[in-house]
Amino acid sequence: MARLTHVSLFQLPAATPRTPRRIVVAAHADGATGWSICPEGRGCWDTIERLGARVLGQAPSDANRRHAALGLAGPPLTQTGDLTPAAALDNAVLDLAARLAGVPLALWLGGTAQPRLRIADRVSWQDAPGDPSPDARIAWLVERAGERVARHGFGALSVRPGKAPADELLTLLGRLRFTFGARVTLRIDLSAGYPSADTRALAAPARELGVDLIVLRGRSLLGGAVPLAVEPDPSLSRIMLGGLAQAVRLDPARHGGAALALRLAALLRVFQLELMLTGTLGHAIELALLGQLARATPTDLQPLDVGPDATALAPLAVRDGQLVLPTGPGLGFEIDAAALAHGALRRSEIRTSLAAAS
Amino acid sequence: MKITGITLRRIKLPLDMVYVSSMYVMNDTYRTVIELATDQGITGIGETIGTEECFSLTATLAKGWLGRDPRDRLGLRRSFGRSVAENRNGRTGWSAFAGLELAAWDATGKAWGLSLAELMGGAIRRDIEVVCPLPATIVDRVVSRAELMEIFANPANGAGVVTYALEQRRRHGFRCFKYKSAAASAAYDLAVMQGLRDALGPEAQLRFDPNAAYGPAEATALCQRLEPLQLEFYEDPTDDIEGLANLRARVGRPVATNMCVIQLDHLPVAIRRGAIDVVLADLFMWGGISNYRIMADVAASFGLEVAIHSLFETGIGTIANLHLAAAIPRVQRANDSGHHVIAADVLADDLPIKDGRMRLPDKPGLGIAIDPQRLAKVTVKEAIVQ
Repeated sequence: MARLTHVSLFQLPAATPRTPRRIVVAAHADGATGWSICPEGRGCWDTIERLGARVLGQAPSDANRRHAALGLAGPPLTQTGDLTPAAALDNAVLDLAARLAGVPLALWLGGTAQPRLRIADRVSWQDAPGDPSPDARIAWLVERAGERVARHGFGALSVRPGKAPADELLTLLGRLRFTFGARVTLRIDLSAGYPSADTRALAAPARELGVDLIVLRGRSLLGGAVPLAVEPDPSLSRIMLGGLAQAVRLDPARHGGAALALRLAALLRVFQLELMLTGTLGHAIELALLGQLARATPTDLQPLDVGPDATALAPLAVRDGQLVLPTGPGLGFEIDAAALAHGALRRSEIRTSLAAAS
Repeated sequence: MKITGITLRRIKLPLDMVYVSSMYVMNDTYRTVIELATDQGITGIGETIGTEECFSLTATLAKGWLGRDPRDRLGLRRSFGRSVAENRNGRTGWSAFAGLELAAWDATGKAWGLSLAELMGGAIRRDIEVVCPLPATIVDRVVSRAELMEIFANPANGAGVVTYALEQRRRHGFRCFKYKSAAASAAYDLAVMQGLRDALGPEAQLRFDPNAAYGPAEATALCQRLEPLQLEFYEDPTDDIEGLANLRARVGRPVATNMCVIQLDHLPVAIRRGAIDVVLADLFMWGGISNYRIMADVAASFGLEVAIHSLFETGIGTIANLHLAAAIPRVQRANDSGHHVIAADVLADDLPIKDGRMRLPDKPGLGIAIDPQRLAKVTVKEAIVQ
């Protein structure tokens, strides 16, 4: 049986000026390599190095043991602290396990629960040119959305208003609804610190405009006016029992990885909530993981929410509003390790397990 | 990898005892054994319950599996959910699927060189404690309910159950016992449970299971009188989620069920109502390994325990249950198992119980092989789907 021999880290620049640097993790065993990517937060690099040493020597299939070593064991929502480093390692080893078996990651995770992978496009206030008036900005965003819907067939739009005033956001939503009618679903993402007073003011008009989902960071202030998506936190069990949300938005890179996401999806399946998978890193490794995970997720899925631009991440593609996955083993495609190393800002390699060192 | 053929055999297994409970008086049982052939020469082995209805439904389902990839278990599950009415609010449909799915897991493990436990995330234990089932009374032939009533009328007649338990402990080292009440007499049940505790000592784990046959008031009163015996849990002492919730609020020992919370959509209601402590879940009735893992995650998230239910499986189902217990951390209690009571198994190797424990195989898939001659000897019906 193959055993993890070493783990490599590569620091990559940020995808956009507003997003963090990224760390690519490579897990190696028996001549094969599994890959993952995560945002670089404070102390992330060092933590991955420390945790990586704990899992060396383990079999890639031995998830129970690995999760115990990484702090990912136990029911979903009971894990504490920053789960990003553990997720990065676990996702890389999952990819490795699937590659060793010679099958796509989705098949390793159980198969095809979702034959069609709907993906939303992002309409981000911050993407519009900075200088124009609000009207011009709205016009630019609607025109751009129209071009992308026409070209890629998106059937869902995730509107990210940043700190845009509620009246401007409602104008944008109205124009989008007028332009696309019922053929495109609209979501608003208010999770990035949108003012709570404006959030409350948005609820009723958003319902009038047929907004399908509002994404919030914490518990609902909206009293059920519009279906809500919330992010995983310890209050989620109460939200599920109380039927207080329609969906849960989860970023596997931040919330403990694909395996933990699947376990959370099991809960959502039983409590009849949807899962909304999201990613922010602008890298094909992230999008491939989201796609493979979505394919094997046995609960209803919201369209994937991936930014900044999921259409620019070859070899993955978006066709007719669906994510098209490459069909090779693991994530589905080979990573050019040399090119990755060449573009890396920093590199590291973990070869000595904690057990061996002691 | 593609499925090229599926062979189903309905088998009749003699028991070494007359099994008496509130639901059954029997000295044999029926199971369905499944062999799933693939284009890569790998054969996946599965098993499920053996009623005529389940056998027939499994054969119907199997037709839709031809040409499919057995490793795509979620895809197979998806098509099942859409096409079979029996998957809703009935055990037969899910049991049929579970048997086929088990064969698919076995084939996948063999293809990838991993045991079932490894496929599920890795074995965290290899010696699995098992429970000895105890009939409501010891009789040497299948008798009528009327004859049984005469036996249960005298609590002293329960002494044979205690003797039987001691003999099983001597032979196999059991530490855990499950008494199958016939729910005919609370006085009789109390006498048996008291006798078991006295004979087996405080270290023995004792389960009490009347198969939901006592009414709520009688069950509550009986369980309250059983409290001093410190049973491991009360299994289905009465019926329905409401009944269990009301009883649980009035007793101190844990409440388990294999009859009232038996599919995924029962869980939220049971959790909100605080009805149970232990989901004593049957692999087949719950619809297979994938459903089982979902159930276990939900249970763990809401503080419920998971334990593994069994009736009288062949070695195939018994070993599948060992893999579940080995790989699902939430399973902490001993597995139900009636395998040692079966007088004729279908596996090539025997499955010994030592010190009350069974050993997890470490070969790929289930890690077992069928003995064709043994299988042929107990087969009563065969269906070949190809």
